[in-house]
Amino acid sequence: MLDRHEIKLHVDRHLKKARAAMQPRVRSAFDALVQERGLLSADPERYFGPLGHPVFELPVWVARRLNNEGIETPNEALSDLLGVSALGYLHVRAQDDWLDGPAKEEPTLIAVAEALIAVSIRLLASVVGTSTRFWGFYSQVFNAYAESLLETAEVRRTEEPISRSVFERLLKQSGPLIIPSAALLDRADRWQLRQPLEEFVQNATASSQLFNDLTDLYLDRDTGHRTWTTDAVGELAADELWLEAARAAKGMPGGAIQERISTALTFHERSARAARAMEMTAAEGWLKGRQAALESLPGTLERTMVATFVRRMAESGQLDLSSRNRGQAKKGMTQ
Amino acid sequence: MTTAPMGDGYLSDIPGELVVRAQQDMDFALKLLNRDTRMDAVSDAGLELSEEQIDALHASLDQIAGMSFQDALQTLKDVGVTRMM
Repeated sequence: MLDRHEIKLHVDRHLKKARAAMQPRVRSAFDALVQERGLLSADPERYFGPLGHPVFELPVWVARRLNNEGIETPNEALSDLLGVSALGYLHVRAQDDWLDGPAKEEPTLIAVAEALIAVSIRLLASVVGTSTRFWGFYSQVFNAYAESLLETAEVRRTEEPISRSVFERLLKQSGPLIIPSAALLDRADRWQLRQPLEEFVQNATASSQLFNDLTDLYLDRDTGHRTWTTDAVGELAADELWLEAARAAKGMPGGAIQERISTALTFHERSARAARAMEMTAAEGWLKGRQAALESLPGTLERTMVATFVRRMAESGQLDLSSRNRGQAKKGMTQ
Repeated sequence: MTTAPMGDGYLSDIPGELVVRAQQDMDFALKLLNRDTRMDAVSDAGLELSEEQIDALHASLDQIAGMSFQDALQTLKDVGVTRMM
């Protein structure tokens, strides 16, 4: 079965192949998207972080799960599904970037999304053929995705508070991540594993989204991008969050940050249960890595904050001194 | 102590002794960061400040702490290629 190095090789090969088939304008837009996301970079670590979604590893974990009961997935089929993972992921990113972007009349991202989904469907068809079961599911996933895309736009236009249920509905935008792995289940006729697989994808995505929303809290607040986290923390409380982080370091419990991290951990634990329910043992290392990253977050946050605090104080002293020196120099010039 | 005039945002009244000690001792830095324990840190450093100086110190350190927290969140941000939304 493929290791991370091999997975990256397959992903990169499909990206390059798709690029070669594109026409000039679309290719240029594709290049920008690939560069912006950091794909085709030499660093394999960036493809497999514990806090990002396991876009590229998930189909391999599922293939290993099937292999454990004697169902072999040909390398070519697995490679094609890694292509679907990469191109399908970029398709979703392109549409999301378009939705987030300022110029809705600019069609570049929509055009590249069209090109990506076309290649992705061709690769899927090579694995599942004309399976009514799979394509019915595909249609259902993309209908939910489309609805979620429009709901996101609607939420951004209004002042409607983003509650947990809205957050969970908007996450349907990540639904297509299941497609390559669902294709494997269909091909192997193990469709009964689809339910825990969906549970896994949904909860793993919710967990990483909450982590991202926490680290992006101030960026989102400054750009007016509302999330469940910006709404839950609130405008005034955000200015006092540092105090809460400092108090948490002294062992004082509770607070909005702790609550966000605990919720991310709850989603993570649900994803781990789903992985166990479908005996996806190959995911264990990644699940442990994510658990550790989330559990250590308060401590890591505190250490990073204190280090930055000291650095900023020292810098302020230096700047202070230089501004006084500038003042004295000016005085000297006028004397 | 450093007694530069206010007006450069957070570049203000932070005694140099506190900065030097915070650089040498992370526990002390944490004590200084936390508003609840900050005056203990000032006493530990053997400083006596007027009420006006204490107010200015709180204002400066609170501002630096707030910015440090935002910096820390950015530092921890996932920079992987599969980062969601």
